[in-house]
Amino acid sequence: MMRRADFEGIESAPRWIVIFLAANLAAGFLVAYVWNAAGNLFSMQASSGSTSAFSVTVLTAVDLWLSIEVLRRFPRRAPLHSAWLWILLAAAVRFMSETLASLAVCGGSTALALCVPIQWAMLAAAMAQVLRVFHRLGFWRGPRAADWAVCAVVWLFTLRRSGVLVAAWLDGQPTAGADWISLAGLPILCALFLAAMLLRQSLASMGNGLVTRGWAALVYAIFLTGAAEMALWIIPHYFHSLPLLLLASLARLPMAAAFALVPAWQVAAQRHAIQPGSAEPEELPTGLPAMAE
Amino acid sequence: MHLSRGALIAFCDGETGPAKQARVARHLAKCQKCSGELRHIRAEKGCLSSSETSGFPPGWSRLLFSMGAWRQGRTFGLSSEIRRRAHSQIEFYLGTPAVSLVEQAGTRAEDSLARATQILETLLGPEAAEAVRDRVLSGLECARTALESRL
Repeated sequence: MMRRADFEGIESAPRWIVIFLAANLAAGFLVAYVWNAAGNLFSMQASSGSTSAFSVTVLTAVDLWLSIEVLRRFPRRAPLHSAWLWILLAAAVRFMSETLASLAVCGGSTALALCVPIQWAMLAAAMAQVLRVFHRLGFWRGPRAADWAVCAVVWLFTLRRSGVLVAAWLDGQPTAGADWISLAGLPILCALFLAAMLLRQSLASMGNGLVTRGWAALVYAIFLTGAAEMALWIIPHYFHSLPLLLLASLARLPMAAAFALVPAWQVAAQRHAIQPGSAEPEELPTGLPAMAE
Repeated sequence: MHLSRGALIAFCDGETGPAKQARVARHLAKCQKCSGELRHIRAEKGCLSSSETSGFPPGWSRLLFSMGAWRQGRTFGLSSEIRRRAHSQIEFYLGTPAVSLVEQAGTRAEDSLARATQILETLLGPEAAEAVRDRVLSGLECARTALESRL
């Protein structure tokens, strides 16, 4: 049975984020089902797309707030200070881009195209620092064949997309600036994917504790980012009938939730450690006094 | 007749009077077993004082040292209690497999706890790690008090 205290305080943020995500996804899929059943009689691109975009903005705001909370607990000399600083900056860029895109202050696609490679570069810097710390603590594990395979898929996607764009440009077809910016970010995504796979191996050797869950969320977030990037490029090329805007917003939702879960789990772990009333994780009845008996 | 561990610790810390100090020194010159025990105590203290300089709060090394000294005289396994508490922290914050990465063959229980604290400090931040460490130490103190009162 779930205790009431489990939903109180900032340390319950992971639960709230998962509930928020589940509710939004359920609503999104329900809209898609109704749209399909109604024979595409009404346009849902604007209505459901803007709702999902608002939810994504809320999640990025939560992500930013929780990242600030985490960074406050790491002094400047702490080994993970710079990693959390990069994660905070990436969260700030995500929040800014989502806000600009939803408010339509400037062209939504241009804002997102500019912000995406920047936040990937920040995340790559954070991942490098995290991997260095894990290596120093003895949690380092090398990549396996499956990890190289996943990275190879992203590299192939990068090459394919570059080839298509360059071919279109050489043919004299009009190419948007956003496409070139997005293309420039793909090598960073490849590096990010490799770092994520390395981190995944290290985490697999550690287990499923509170701190580990946060870093695992970062791995999933990067994986979802790559998957969404590929899906949103492939769908318009091969599946013309699918509502792209709805799919894009639905793909961004789990991604934003996964990114928000990174500081959320960290805050949960830190709060659990600091709270004066919190008991030790495991109070065995067969402790020392029992042995003396 | 050999010297007790307590007397050797007091000699090592210079807590005895000059007359007793000279008596112990005379005995140590003759007795190989006691001088060996003194070397062991000095090595233990050296190890703990080096860990004390790596950010442990005052009283930490004294507590662990007294526990180590106490443990050697008894066989009730305070060492396993220290180890168990260090492992439970690692299990909770990192995961069960991480325990085997933290625990190395031949490490003393006190070193396991120190390493667990160092890992938590890196991953959670100093404030959180300090709170965890204080809770573990107070738990150990309670356990020791409870045990001593029952013996």
